Parts: sequence; structure tokens; C-alpha cells
Amino acid sequence: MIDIILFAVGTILLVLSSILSLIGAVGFLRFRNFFLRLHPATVGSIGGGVYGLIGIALIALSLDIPDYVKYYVFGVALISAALVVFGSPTGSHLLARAAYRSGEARPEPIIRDKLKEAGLK
Amino acid sequence: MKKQLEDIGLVLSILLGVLLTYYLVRANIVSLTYGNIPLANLYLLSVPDPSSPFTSRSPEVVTSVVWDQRGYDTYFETSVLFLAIIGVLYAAGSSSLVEKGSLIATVIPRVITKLLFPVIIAVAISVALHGHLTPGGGFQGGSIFAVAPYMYLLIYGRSRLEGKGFRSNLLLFMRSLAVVLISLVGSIVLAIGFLTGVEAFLFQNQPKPPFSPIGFPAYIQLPWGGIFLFSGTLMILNVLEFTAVSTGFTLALIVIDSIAGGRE
Repeated sequence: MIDIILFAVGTILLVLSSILSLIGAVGFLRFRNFFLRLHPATVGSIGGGVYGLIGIALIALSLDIPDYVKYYVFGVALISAALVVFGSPTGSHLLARAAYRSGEARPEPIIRDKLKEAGLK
Repeated sequence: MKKQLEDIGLVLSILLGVLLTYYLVRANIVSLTYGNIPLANLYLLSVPDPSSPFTSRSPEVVTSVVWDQRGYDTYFETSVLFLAIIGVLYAAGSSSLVEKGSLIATVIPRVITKLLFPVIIAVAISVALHGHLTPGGGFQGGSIFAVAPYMYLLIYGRSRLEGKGFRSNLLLFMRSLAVVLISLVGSIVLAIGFLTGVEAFLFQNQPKPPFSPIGFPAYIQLPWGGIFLFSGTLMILNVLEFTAVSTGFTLALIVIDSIAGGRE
């Protein structure tokens, strides 16, 4: 019973990750400038990568395969997901910060520039 | 208009390359199959087979070829990298250092760097120590290792990195020591063969029965049962190459960062 639930949850996560990957790819091509494109890029890596890896881990746990292969795939997928969770937001944060500070990309459309008000050059 | 022409030319050249490859493979001018390559068959069959005279007692053929069958060549590759690092140090010593930036990284990259630093080092050591069993090896492990101090250097600055023990003199010493030890390990069988009067080869790993009766042991019998397979020189040379490459890359990155004006 628990196997079926795990397999179903894993499959749902995989399908969700594929949909989010597609959304991320389309958004990355359609959005206008750098700061807008950072958003679908992280949708693609967190939604498309992490959800899919967790889904693979759950599916591997539910399958009727040797324990060695099962826990190997489970651990590798979870560790990769954790690394992407750590790395991807940090990378996009650093990219946005560097682009803002160097003035390479203009932040628009913009409602209120709080960094400018705080006196950050 | 010019950019569009460039795009069209790129697409056309990719298409032409695909079609050319397809033609060459279908007309049997080039073979992509794996079965009838004599050299590949020789290595894939003789390296893991303990009864062959050309064995390395290792399931990983690439590392065996790199450190056993062409170990002398790899030693000179390591030396070339060593000389390149020395050249970087020499060029850096004669150029003036630019002013240091004083930007402080935000809390996000600082915390993530602290989290990922031990993870990257663990992965690098694992890749290097399993080099004779799985894909990877000393050079690959060393290159992965160099990411960790470089990340620390970019986020925290050079003085914090030196506080962790990554000092230039120590790194240069470790690098030179590793290169010297690689040449020692490579010539020790030859020296023993010379002293005892039997035939031996440079960078020899296992005994080669018809040619040379001496060589490194392939495994150690552990006291609690089981064996510890280290494939003769392969694991020793992988560890030494890991030391050489990781310290060399770290040193080069520290020097380049100090020229380009990183955080103090």
C-alpha cells in the first residue's frame, strides 16, 4: 500500500517538474530583460530540477528492486536535490546583485527602487 | 541582416556536419561501433585480467592506461602543469598589484559557502581515492577540490583563506613534494630491478611474468578478513596527483585573484 502511495506521489512530482521546466523554458525565451529572465531560470532549476529529483527518489523507494540499487538512487537523488536547493538561489542572488551594482542591466519595469533609496551604489 | 546571415550559416553548417557524419557512417568509411577496434579490445580485456602480463589489477581501464600503460607520459603532463604554475607565480611577481575591492558579500553566499565547503572537499577526496575503481582519479579530484578554496576566496577574501591553512608557501611545498614523490614511485621498481639484477621498467605497476618478475602488490589482506584493493601504483599515484593538482590550482587561483584585485 505504502509503495503505491509513494509511486503515485513520485509520479505527480515528476509530471509537475516537467510542466515547470516547460514554463521555465518558455519564460526564459519570452521575457524581456535580465532581471525578468532570472525568475523563469530559477523556476526551471528549483521546480524542474528539485521536484523531479525528489520524485525519482520516491519512485526508487517504491520499486521492487535490490536494496543496494534502491537506496543508492534514493540517496543520490536527495543529495543532488539538496545541492540544487542550496546552489540555485545563491547563484541567482549573486547574478542579480552583480548586474545591479555594475549597472549592466537596468531593473525595469520597476515600481520602487528600495536599494537606491537605501543608498546602495 | 548580417546577424541573420550568420544564424543561417550556423544552422546550415550544423546540418551539413550531421549529413556528412551520417554519410560517413552509412558508407562504412567511419565505424562508430565498439566491436572491431583492436587496441580498445586489447586494453579492455587485458587490464582487469590478473593472468595477463599487461594487467593492472584494476577494473577501471582509463586510470590504468593513464598511470600504468602510459604513466611516464602522465608524469610529464603533471610536470607541465607544475611549470605552468611556476610561470604564473613568476609573472605575478613582476606585475604590480591593483587596489583591493572592499565589497562585503551578503549573508546568503556566506552561509551557503560555509555549507558547501566540506561537501565539495568530501566529493573531491572520494573521486580521487576511488580513481582505480570508478571513473575519476587524481586530476579530476584535484580539479573539484580547487573549487572549494576558490569559492571561499571569492566570498570571504584572502586573509580568511590563509587563516584556514591555504598559505602560498605551504601549497607550493606540497605541490613540489607531490611531483617529486610521483617520480620516486615511478622509478622505485626500476631501481630495485637495477640493484637486484632483474629486468624492470619505468613506471611499472604489476609484475610482468615473461619480462619482469618484480612489481607492486595489488592488494593487502586485512586482519578482519576481506582484501583492500589498491591496484599497485594506481591508488598511490592518484593520491599524489590529487595533492599536486589541488594545491597547484588553488595556488594559481589565489595568485590570479590577487592580481585581479579580489577581496583582501
